[in-house]
Amino acid sequence: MPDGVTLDLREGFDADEVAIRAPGMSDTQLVAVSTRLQIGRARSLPLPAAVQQLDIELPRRGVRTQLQLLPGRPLWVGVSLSRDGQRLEVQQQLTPFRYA
Amino acid sequence: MKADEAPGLSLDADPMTSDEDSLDSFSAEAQLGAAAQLRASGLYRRKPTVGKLPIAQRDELRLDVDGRYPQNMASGVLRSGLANRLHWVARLQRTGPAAWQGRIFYRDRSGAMPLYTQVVITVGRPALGKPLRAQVAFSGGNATPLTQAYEFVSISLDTVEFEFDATPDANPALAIQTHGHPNRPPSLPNEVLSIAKVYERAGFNVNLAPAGPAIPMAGAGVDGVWSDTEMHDAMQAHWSRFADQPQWALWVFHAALHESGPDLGGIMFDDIGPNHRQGTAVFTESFVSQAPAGDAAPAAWVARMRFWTACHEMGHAFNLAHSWQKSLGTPWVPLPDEPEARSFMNYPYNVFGGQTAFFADFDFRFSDPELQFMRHAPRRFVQMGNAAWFDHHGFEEACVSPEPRLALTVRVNHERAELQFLEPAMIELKATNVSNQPLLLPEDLLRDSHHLTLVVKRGDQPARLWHPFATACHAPVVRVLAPGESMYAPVFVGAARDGWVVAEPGRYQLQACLHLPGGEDVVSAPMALRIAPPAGYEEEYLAQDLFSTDVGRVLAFDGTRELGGANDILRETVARLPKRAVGTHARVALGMPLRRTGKVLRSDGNSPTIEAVKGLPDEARTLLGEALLTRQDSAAATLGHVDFRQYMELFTGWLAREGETKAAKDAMTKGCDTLEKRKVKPAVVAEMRAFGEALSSHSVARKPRTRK
Repeated sequence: MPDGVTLDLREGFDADEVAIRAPGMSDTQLVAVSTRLQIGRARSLPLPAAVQQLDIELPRRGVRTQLQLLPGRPLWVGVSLSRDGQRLEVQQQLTPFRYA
Repeated sequence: MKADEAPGLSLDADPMTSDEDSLDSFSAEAQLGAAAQLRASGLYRRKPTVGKLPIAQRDELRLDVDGRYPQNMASGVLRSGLANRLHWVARLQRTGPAAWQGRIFYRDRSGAMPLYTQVVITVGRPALGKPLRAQVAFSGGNATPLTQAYEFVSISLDTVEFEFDATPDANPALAIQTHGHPNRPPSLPNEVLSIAKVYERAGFNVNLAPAGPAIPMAGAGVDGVWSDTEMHDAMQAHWSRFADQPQWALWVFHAALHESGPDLGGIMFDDIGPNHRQGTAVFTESFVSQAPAGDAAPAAWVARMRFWTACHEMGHAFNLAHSWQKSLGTPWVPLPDEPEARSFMNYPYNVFGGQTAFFADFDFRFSDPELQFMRHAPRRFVQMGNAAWFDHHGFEEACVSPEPRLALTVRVNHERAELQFLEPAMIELKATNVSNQPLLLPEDLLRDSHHLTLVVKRGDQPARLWHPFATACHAPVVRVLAPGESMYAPVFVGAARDGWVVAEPGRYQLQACLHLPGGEDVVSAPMALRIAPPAGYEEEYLAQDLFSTDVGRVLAFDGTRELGGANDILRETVARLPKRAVGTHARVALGMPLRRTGKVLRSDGNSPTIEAVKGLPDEARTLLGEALLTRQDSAAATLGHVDFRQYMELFTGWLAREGETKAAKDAMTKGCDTLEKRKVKPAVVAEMRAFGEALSSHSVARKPRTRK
């Protein structure tokens, strides 16, 4: 089990570009991010435990969210695109997200 | 299948035997006499005869009115000749001991089949010892009524084969004791429940193929965990039934872990290649093997999660979506999400109250909409290896009234539903009040994407939702639609926000759904549309540029003053293909903005300005005259009658304001004659003639319009 932060990109992604930025961490640019509908997850990324803030942007959609992470570690952060594609919905929890 | 597992059963049903009884012998007495012990659900087939010689059994009936989880539905297939086929589905109400009637709410048609709207079904036994027989009377839809007799075949609706294979380090749970864990519904029967039984209760006759030897771990590579590709390879190597073709057979693979780690409990991995949904996997040592701390019966908890996961992943192979994803993808009509459903297709840990709440209320079954899909959807949507994963998963759960007030039709104004290559696809929606009461409806019902859902499907490719370029937000205006009266709207369905939808040569199906205020849905029958192949090199060449989003947008909005590149392509289209239908559309899109001076928003750094762009009336007159006045019959067909009328009124009104009253009136007269010859409603032509008569230099401008 990871001891840092795990970022799960979950529902709603469809061939999206995703930019992930955090202070103290080099920027991450993901391309062709698509949700696999049979499990409800697109990508899962490990992030350093020291990350306190996250900035996630889908530049082609003009959608962005900035979030303050909860203090506990390990931490799982789930990010989904809303049904209307207009905003990112975030869920943070101290246990992993499960898929099937 | 055991008798008590079926979606209905006949305890004394005989296997199908040769039938020499006529419908006349199907008496009400026999029906009623049998009704006391009759359980009617199951698969029936029609056995047409030529004289006394039986020919192939083809038409079928699926009756679903009693037995396990009855859905009070019937479905079936009617065939005529080799090419004509209608898959129908009806919701039923019982009208007698062994009689039902209902409205057909779903049709999947190929060829020229009548679109019946009602069925009346009676079931009985013609004589002691004879198999059950169902009689179905089809009516409505302006079709000649039809009554057909069907013989009982089986209590299951389809036969499917499962093969369960596993790696040596996996621990499959192919059956569980339902009372093994104390957290369960109080009413849950105590039994040994197998995966096969779960699917038998969903309507299938399940054959279990003998499991092969353990799948060698070498297939997983050196890491000992499985990737999707490795599982697909293993399926081809170890599954005796593997074939690149649709078949009612499924490979269920149990392994310890997926390469992505313990958070993945299973996956329907087979969305690779041309024939999806033939293989699915369960990872028995994933999180499903970790009972919560302090659980009262951890071993039973693990067995139950492994069992749930297997049934869940197999459900995906039947093209079932997750409970919270029902409205996603390309359902034929909108389907509500079921985030709190107690179904195999929901995640237990995602419902309110978590897995404890889920299993306290879970009867080890699929939801009603899922059962309806598995039992009654066109079989190609459900059968493994057939329709692509997630395509058609929704089937239908529209809120359709048993007594609809509106009838919705999708059509084109061509003699045959065939368009030239490059011809922008214009369809016409027609909604008719089929009730005996006036209806109050939103004026923009057919034009507003809040009310309208349109699905386009090309050949065997996944269906696509049509997303209009613009979504209007109008002040609510209500109109009265009298009984028998219709309202119409043209829709440019060729292109959408996410690209061209109807463009490539081939056969398409288009289906629309209207969401009425109050929640009722009105669903059209699918319309078949063919796009012809390119007529020559010029068309193939132009297609590369024409099928761009910008050109689609310009066509949708009747022109642009801003997208110069798109206008260049349209000018080239006019030059190269002046007599083709696309030339008419290109002239309209080029000509409409040129009639007058218009505004363009320029953004130069931080100082946006509005700039006036002068019109070019002479050029507009030439382009619109060529589009609307020459080859007028073809123009009316390709633009659609509704749009043709509006363009004529805009064009002639503009001409009149420019002082060319006589030319305007002459043009309108010619346009009216054309629509008259095309059998457009006399009242519509009369309105146009009145418009033409009223044309003068003081003619008023009509409000701007777009196709969408």
